[in-house]
Amino acid sequence: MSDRDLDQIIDDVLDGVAPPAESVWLKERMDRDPAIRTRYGERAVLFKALTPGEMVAPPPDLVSSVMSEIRGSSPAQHSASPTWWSSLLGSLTRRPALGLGYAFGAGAAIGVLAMVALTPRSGSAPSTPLPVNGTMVPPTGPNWILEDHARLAAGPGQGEVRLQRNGAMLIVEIESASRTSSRWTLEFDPASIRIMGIDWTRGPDGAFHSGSGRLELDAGAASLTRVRLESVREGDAELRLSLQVGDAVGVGTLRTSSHTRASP
Amino acid sequence: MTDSDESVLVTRSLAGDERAFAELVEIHQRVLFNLALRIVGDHEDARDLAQTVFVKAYRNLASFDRGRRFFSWIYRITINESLSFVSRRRPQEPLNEVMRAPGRSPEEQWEQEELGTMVRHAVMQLTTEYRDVIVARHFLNLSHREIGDLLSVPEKTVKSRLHTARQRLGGILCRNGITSA
Repeated sequence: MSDRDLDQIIDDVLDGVAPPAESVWLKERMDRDPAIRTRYGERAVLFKALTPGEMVAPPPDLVSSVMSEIRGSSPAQHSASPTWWSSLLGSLTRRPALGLGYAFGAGAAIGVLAMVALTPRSGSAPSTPLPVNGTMVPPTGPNWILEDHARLAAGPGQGEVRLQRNGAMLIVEIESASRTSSRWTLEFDPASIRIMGIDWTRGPDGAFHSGSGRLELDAGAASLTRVRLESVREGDAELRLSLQVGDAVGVGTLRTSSHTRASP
Repeated sequence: MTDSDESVLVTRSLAGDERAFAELVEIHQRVLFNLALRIVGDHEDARDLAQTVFVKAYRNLASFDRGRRFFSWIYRITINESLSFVSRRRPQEPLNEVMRAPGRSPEEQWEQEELGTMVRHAVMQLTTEYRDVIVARHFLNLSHREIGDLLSVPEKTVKSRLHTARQRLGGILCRNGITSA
């Protein structure tokens, strides 16, 4: 029996999932062989260290706190961040009596907001969200397919990028192994792909800057960032990647395969 | 509560039925609060995180993949939020209420708190696939089958990942002087 097999049995016994016969077998072996008993003892220390105790009751006001925060809003309203136009309309319709009085201001606001809407967006989530932000849907499960992946290196920085697909939904996972913050850039054909959201999955929230067919992310050290994209038309598409750390730059490419959209 | 019952609650929540979402919060608050507590080590922070998680889930419910279990989704959000919180927190903040228990001497208390911090830090050094199984098995006491359901992987894979995860964890803790080789 290999050490790994023995460790597996010890794990199973300590974990309470070993069949009775295996537990008896291990006990007999430990009685005969002090080395195995020591091995068992060491593993038991690890299990003990991992046992944090009984579950505790949640705070009694947790449900009411959650509900008071979401009261009066429908989840459907949050499926996408409001556009500048819907925000403006919303603010006017909520204050109908002030509608005329706001007319001049609204005209000016439209001008300003239109400029904002036509300007590339930047910020750090969640203050200036992309159309859909913070969904945090992990690309796991039978519907997700790993389509492509690439490793990039730039000077002292490095990281891995994985492209996963579920129908028209794409998730690019950027796992930075750099010890410092790094800039990642994704470029693509905006007629094929659009950005749906960013999720700073691990590490502090970074900053982003998005323009047509381009997304720049400033990600923290040893971070994991998920970028949610959508294929807006059938056919192959390409994502060009670059990683910049200081003056060093590494580049790579990810390709998505053709797919059939379930709905237009 | 079956998956289909949960699916009905999600549908009703999406239609604006707040009582339905309150039911989902009721069902999952204990496990998710404890999950956050195990990771961040402080009751107040865990409370804030659990609240944030439920509010985020509600606001993003329309993007929830209905083909998956609601618990899997919100569990992942909790892990992400908690890990993100830990990585933002100043390293000198010693927060280990999870390990506190009445009847322990101050020295024992301190040792337990230190151990809790070191174990959590070691768990955070694992890659996602290994961290997930350790957190689910040891922090939440889920069975192998439940973990398989949660992560959409066969039980056999759960067992194998747990074993590898423990080997790696043992290595990290050994290097930090917590366990012997």
